[in-house]
Amino acid sequence: MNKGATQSDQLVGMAGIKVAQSQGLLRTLLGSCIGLILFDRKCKLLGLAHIVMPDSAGRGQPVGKYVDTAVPETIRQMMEVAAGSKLRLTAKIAGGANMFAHLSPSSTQSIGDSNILAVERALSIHQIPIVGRDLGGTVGRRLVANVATGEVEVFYIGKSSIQL
Amino acid sequence: MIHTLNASQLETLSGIVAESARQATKSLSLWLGKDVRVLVDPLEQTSLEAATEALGAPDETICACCMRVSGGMQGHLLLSFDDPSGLAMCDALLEEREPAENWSELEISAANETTNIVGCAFLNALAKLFAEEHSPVGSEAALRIGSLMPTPPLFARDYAAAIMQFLLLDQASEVDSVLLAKTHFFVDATPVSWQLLLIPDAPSLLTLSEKLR
Repeated sequence: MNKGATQSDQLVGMAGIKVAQSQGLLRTLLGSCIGLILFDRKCKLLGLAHIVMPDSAGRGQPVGKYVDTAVPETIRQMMEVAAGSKLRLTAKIAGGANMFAHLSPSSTQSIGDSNILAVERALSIHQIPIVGRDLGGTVGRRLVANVATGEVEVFYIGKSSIQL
Repeated sequence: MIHTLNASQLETLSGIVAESARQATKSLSLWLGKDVRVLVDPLEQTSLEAATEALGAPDETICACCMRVSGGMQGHLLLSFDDPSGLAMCDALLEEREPAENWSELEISAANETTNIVGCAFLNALAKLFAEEHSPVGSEAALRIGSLMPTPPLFARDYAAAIMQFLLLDQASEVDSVLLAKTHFFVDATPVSWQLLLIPDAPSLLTLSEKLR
């Protein structure tokens, strides 16, 4: 997989959502946040959400920041691009690390874990199977998703990447 | 709840943070045996996404020594640096040996100790200046932030964006913009790639906005 940035290589920032079709790469950097990749193989349609917090508690904006708003919004954007085609989505998720875990007060310490649980719950509600995951730990991740194939490669500093 | 500071509050706080950083560099100069200077940009409130680039490009590898701050203001304080700047700092401390090429326990310990010294000096100056600037003499209703207590620093070498995500979580849970000041360090008049970042949590931002009214 191409590690460098290209024109069809888009970076998804904190609380961002991007949807792409047919070709290109979507990238994001993850610490305690969750990277959610939804993919439809037939339409070669891929959505990536960089989710920060588990629950909007009614705030709602920005929609990509919270699990309970980001998941339906990513699906909505993908359905919009699909223009009526029925989507059979699968999900891959990565992130949720506890960086500097020993410095965290109990409330912060659980955010990575809370994000993971909330994403799994939201995907279950939408009946989207999780086909790959790389979660937890104490180090950051660089995630690269291939729009055409749905392949996701997760890079770490100082060790080999893995394929989801 | 008030989560943002107005222009006047930002200017006042910027002055206090800049002076605290200058005082902290005196300790750093003594510790390193070199002339260390710092320039501090005015504080700015920026989006979460923009803030993740405060330490460098999102996928840049950086080193950071991070302390959690408790007391009158809570949050995180960290000293970050790229590999060459960080290892050069260690070489300056650990004299009479070959220059370091990697981070061993010795270099990590030196970086953490440096952060402890500059961090404690910064927080002490911050608390003192805050009291002097905003406490009416003899008033019991002093607008003090009180003492600030840091934990021992922890070292990490990771993606810049991943480290910033951890630091921003305390603010991100409540607000969509964060308060940030960028620093520019010079050692013997040569710029070095160090950053000192103080990131108060959301309740502390609220406290600051009330005290600075």
